[in-house]
Amino acid sequence: MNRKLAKEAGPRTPFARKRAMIVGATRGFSRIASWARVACIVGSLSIPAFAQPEVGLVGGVTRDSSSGKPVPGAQIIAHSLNKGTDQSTVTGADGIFTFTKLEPGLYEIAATKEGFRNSSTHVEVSVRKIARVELPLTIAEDLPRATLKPDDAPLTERERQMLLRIERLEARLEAMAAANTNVGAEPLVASLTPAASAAPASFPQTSRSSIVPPPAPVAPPDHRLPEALQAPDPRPAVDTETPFAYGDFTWLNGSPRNKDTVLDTKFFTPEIRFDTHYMEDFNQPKDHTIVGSTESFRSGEVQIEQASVGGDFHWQGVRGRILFMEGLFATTTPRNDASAGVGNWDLRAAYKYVSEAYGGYHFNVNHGLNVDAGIFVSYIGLFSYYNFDNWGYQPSYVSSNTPWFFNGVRVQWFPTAKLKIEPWFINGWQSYAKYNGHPGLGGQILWLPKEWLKVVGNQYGFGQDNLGLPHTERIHTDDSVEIRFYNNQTKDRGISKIAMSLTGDAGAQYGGGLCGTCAPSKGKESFVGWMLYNRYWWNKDKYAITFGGGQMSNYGRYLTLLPPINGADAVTGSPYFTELPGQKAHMWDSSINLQYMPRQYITWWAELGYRHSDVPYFAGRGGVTPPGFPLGGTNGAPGQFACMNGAPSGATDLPTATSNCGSVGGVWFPDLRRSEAKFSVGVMVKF
Amino acid sequence: MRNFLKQSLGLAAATVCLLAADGVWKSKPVAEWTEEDAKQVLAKSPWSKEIRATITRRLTEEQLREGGQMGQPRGIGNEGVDPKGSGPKVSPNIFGGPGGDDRSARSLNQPITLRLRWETALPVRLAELKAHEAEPPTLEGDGHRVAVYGIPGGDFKGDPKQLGEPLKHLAALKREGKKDVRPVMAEVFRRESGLVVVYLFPPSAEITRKDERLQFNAQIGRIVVAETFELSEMEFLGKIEL
Repeated sequence: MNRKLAKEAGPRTPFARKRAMIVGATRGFSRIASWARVACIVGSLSIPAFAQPEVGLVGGVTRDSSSGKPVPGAQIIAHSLNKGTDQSTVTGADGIFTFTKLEPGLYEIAATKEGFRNSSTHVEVSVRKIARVELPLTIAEDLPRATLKPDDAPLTERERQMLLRIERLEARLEAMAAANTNVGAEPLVASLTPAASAAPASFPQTSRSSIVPPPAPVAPPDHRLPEALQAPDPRPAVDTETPFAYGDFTWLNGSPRNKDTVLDTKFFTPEIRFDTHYMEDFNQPKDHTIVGSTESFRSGEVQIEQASVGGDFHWQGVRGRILFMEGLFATTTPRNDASAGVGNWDLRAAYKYVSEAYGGYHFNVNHGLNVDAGIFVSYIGLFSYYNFDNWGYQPSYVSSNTPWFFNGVRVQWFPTAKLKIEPWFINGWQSYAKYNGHPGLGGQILWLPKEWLKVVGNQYGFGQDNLGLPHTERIHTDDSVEIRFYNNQTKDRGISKIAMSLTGDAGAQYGGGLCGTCAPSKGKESFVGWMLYNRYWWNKDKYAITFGGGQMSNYGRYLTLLPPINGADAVTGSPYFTELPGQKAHMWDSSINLQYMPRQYITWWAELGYRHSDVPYFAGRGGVTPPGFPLGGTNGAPGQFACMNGAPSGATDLPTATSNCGSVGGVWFPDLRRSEAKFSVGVMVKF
Repeated sequence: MRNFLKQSLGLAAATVCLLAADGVWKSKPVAEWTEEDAKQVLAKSPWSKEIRATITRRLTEEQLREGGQMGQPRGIGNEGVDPKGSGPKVSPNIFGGPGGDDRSARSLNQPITLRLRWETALPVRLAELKAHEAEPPTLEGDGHRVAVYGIPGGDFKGDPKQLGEPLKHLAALKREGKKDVRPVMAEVFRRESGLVVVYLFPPSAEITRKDERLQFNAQIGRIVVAETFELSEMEFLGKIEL
C-alpha cells in the first residue's frame, strides 16, 4: 500500500489514524461549553505562565462556520506583527487552542485546516492578560483536496519532528505491509496497533503464521511483578555535591557529634560552648597548677575551661566566623606563643578572647573554593581545640603540645566531594605574629574517601619560628588516619561503633647553628611523635570509652610546652626548664576516658590519665609557684631564678642566683616530677 | 471437541488478561485512546513514573563548614523541603536521653514522591494533546526533555533559566560503558502542585536499544533523584521514544 493510497483509504488507514493522533475525534461541543473549556485551560495555565517573565496568554477555539461545531486538528499560527516571529499549535479535539508564552504586542492569529479556508484575526497581547479569540472556518468545497497537504502548513519545530517521525513510521509500516503481500494481506491498521489485536472486524483476518510481528515493545516482566519482587532501583540517597556530605562523619575524633543545629537563621548561625571540669592531680600540687598541657591547668578545683559564644555569618558567597572564648583558654592558650614577644603592641591581649575570627568569600568552583583571612584554629594534632569534639579530654603530646591557632590567609579548594586541599600563607607556626623574616607556608590535605575512613595530612615549612634566631627554619609534618571498624545502630544495647585514630608527627629545625639530624651535642632540634586511640561506643552511642596514648621525642624542646614555673611563658622562658639546642625531652602518656552522651548537645565525662617524662617536668606536691607572697602569686620575673622568699634573684644563671639569694635561704626550686597521674570529671555542652 | 473449546476459551481468557495488563500504548492505536487512556500514559507508563526520591539529611553548621560552606544552602530543593515539625527539640533533661537517637527527623534522609516524565516522548506528547493537559512550560531547543514534578519549595521568583542554571550541572543520563549525557539547559517553573524542573538533553546523545538501560540522575538541592528506565519498555511503534 503506497502512501497516496493510504491517504485515500479513509479513516481506518494508517494515515488517517496517525492524523487522528493529532486531530482527535471529539465533536459536538456547544459554544458555551467550548468557551468554558478555554477559560478553564487558560486559567489552569496562568500559574506557570505567570511564573515566567512578562508574557501574555491567548486562548481560543476554532469552529465550523456552518455548523458551529469545534474544528479539531487545525493548525494555529500566532504571528507577531511587531517582531515577525511565529509560534504554532494545534487545536485539541474540542477545537481549543492556547498560547502561553507570547510576548506583549500585536499578533495575527491564523487557523488552517485541510478542507477549510484559512481564517485569521488580530489580537493585542498584554502582560498577564488573557486574550480570547474565535476563528470560524469555512468549508472550502471548491479547493482541490490534493493541494491541501498537511505539510504545507507551517509547523513548529517539535510538530515538524513529530510528523517526520510519523512519516518514517508510515514508511516503515508500508514496507512491512508490502512485504506482507507475498504471504497474505495483513491489514496495515493491525500493524499500527502494537498488540496486533485490535484490528477492526471489517478487515479480513489472516492466519497467525502470516502476521508480521509488529514492532511491539517487549514488556519486561517487572511490570507484572509485585513491587516487592521487582529489582530495586539504585537510589543513592546521598548528596554527592556538597563536600563530605555523602557520609556521616560525626564519629570522627576532632569533629562535633551534633546531628542538628538548634539555632539557624538565614544570615547567622550562632554557636555556644561550655566546658567545665574538676581535675585531681595525684601529685597534689599545693599551688593547684598542672603543667605541660593545653587542656589541663588546675588541680583540685572546679574550673571553666571554655565558655564561648559566636557563630557563622553567611550571605550568598560572603562568609565570616567569630568565636569568642572566656575561661582558662583565654589565658592558657596565648602564653604558648612566643611570637608576641616580637615588637610592640600586646598581641596576646588583642587575641586572648578570640579563638576564631575570619572572613572570606566562597566561590562556586568545582565543589567549592574559599578564600579566608584572619585567625584560625589550627588542625595540627588531629584533636580539636574544642574538647567537646574529641574522644578524650587530655590528648597525647603530639596534639597537646601544638598550640591551637594561626593568623594568616587560607584557601580551601574542594576539587571533589571527598577531598579538600587547603594551602596556608601564615605569619608562622601557629603564632599570632611573625618571628623573623620568613612567613610560614603550609597546608592541609583532607581526604574522606569512605564514611569509615579519614586521611589527613598537615605540612609546614619555610617559617623562621624561633624567637631571636632569624636563620633557623622549621619544617613539620602531621599526618593522621582514622578508621571506623564497626557501625551498627540497630541494637538498643551492645557495641554500636568501634573506631581508632593514629597520628604521626615529625619535624626539625635547621640553620643558624641548629640541625635536625645531627648529634644532640651539635645542636640537634627535632621532633618525632605518635599517638594511637581506640574508641568503643555502645547503647546507640550513648556511652563511649576511649583508650590511648602516645610518645614524643623532642630534642631542643622547641615544641615542649614550657611549664609555667613562676609564671613563665613562651616569651620569658624559665631557668628551671631550659629549651636549649640538643636538650632532650622524651615523654609518653596513656589515658582512659569514659563519656556519657545522653543527648547530642551534652557530654558527661570522666578520665584517668598517666603521663611520664624522662626529665623532671610535671608539677609535684611543692608546685611551681615561688613561696613568700601574701597572695601566693609569682614574683613577676619568671626568667630569673627565684629566692626562697619568693623574690627575684636578679640572675638567670644558678651560681649568681645562689649568691644573690644566700641571705634569704637560698634559691627556690620548683617541684618537678617525672610522672603525673590525674583523674578528671566534667561536663561539656555545645549548641 | 469439548477439550478444544475449553482450551480455546482458556487461551482467549489468558490473551484478554495479558492485553489488559499491557499499557494502553501497547494495546490500542493512538486514535482510539480515550482521555482516560491518555491520562494513564501521563500518569503511569514507561515515560512517566511516580518515583521515590530522597531528601538528603540537613547538615549541621559544622558539617557545612567542614565542607567549605557556611549557612544552609538556599534555592530550589533546599528551601521548604523539610516538613514542619521536623526540626530539633532540645530537652531540659540533661541527665538522660536516647544517646545517638537524639536527633531530629530532618537530620535523617527523608523519602519524597516525585514524578518523572519524558516530555519529548511521542506518546507523552500525544497523550498531552488527548488529555487536554497543558504541557509543561517548554524549553526551547531540540533534544530530550525530562521533567521532574512535585519539588516542594517556597515562592521562588526569577527567570526560569536562572533558577535552573545551578541545577543544570547536577543532572545526567547515565548508560553503562558510555559517557554521561549532561543537560544543556534546565528551567524551573512553578505549578500548583509544586515546582517543576525541566532538563533538556541534547539530541546528539545517541541513545539506542543496545544501551538497554538509562538512568536519570539529578540533584536538586537536597533532593536526590535516581531512576532507571528500561529502554525496551520505552518503545512506541517500534521506536525508542525519549
